[in-house]
Amino acid sequence: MNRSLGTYSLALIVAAASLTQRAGAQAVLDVPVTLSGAEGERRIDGLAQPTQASSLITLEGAAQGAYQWGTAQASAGAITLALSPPIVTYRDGLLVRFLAPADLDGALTVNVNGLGALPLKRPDGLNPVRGQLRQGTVCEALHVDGRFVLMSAAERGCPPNSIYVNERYCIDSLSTNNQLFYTGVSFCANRGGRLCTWDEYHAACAFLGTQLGGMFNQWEWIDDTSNHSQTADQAGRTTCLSQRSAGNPLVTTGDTRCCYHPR
Amino acid sequence: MAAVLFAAKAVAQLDAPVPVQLVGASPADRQVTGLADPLSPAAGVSVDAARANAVSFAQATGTSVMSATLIPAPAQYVAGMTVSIVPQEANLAGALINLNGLGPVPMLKHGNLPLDSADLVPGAPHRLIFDGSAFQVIGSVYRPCPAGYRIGAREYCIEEFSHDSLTFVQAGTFCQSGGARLCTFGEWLHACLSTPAFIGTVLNFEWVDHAANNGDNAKRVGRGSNGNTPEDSGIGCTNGHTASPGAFTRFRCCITR
Repeated sequence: MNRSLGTYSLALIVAAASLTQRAGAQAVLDVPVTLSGAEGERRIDGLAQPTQASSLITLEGAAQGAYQWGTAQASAGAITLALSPPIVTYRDGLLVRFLAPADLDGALTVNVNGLGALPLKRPDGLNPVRGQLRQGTVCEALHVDGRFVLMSAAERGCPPNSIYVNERYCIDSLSTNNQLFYTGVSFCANRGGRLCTWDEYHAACAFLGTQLGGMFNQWEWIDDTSNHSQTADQAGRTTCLSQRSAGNPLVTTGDTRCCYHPR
Repeated sequence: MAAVLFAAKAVAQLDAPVPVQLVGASPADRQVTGLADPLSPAAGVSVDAARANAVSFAQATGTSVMSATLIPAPAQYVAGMTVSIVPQEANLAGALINLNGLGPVPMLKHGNLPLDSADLVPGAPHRLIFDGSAFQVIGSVYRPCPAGYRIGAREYCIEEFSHDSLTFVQAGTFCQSGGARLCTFGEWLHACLSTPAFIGTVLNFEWVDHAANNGDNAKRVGRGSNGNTPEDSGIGCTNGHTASPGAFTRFRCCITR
């Protein structure tokens, strides 16, 4: 007992309450502990950084946000996150924070402490779109009902690797090669964009010129269609004015260059 | 002496009237473990409870006044108080929130704007911070899709069902009069290809907002040929056709988000 300092060691608590003290020098209490002293006496000091999920946290750790913070790694859309001390199980309300380890979008998963990969979704249920998880940005994800919901990483401006054409839309600076029309439609939608309309494509081509890479190498899909045999249209093969109906969209390929509404 | 100072009450509670000092030599010896979720505002909190927002996370019910119950109950609203709620229903415009019966207060977005209807997505978590008089929704508030629409992708909403047949011009006017527009070819296709249940709502040809180079035709999708199949091969996401704008055809509207 260190009564002169007005504190009790845990050993004294053990002795006082006739509680068990295991061989490993661990005091085990099977009843609640209430600090019943005056205002300045109701403290627990000397806590080390917690080692278990059920450990009492320290003020320092709480102030630092240390318990939600983890180091993330990503591979092919799978984000792995290590929290210390490790979590024991996923539960609703679990909040984790990490730095995006890369520019990520699409069908992503988060796996915390090896408990299993869960989908990472936006609050509106969509997959994160291009520009929403940029490398080095802080991401905050909250677990609800078997998924993680991205609470931060708001979109801003044009997505990475796209360029403002005007204040209303952005366009990819490079195209993606050899896709079917239907693949291109989904490719852009999953990135948070869409195929450009013909006038958007032409205006971008005319306004941005050499800022757009890979132009005039291949036909590129636009969100337009042509004749009665269910075809889709392409543009930009040799000039900004080039346009054609591409034939059977189940077999004809083209390059894909998406447009986006900036946020 | 110790027996006097540490009384195990009849309710099996250990009282410590003075500070507790952990003096173990190693960090592992200076731990308090086995904590359950706190049941009172003065309780200690474990790592697990802190991470899981155990005292600030709740389901919310109601539409004009959303009610939620935190455990333990807060004594009052305090500036800086942070809560996470998961609405079970979409909110109405100007919705309020009432935590543990402390009284309804406004929920605001973008600092000082009242919520629009359905700003809070059912089943999705939303974080709110009390500013002294209202709870501000922090993070992203995505533009919701109106009733009767579903999210097609980040950029648009699409109607869940098609309308009765109109001419191309009438269909476009119908959508515009409702603050919408005919869907583009790509929007309609993505909605159909990405959502298996969508095709079940396609009853016949549907107009999309595209012309076609076959005379003065306009584009129809959802029925016809996919390019490989005969001219009318029935219903399908990749099927299409063109027709005179005067032909009566079903349609659905889209809205840019």
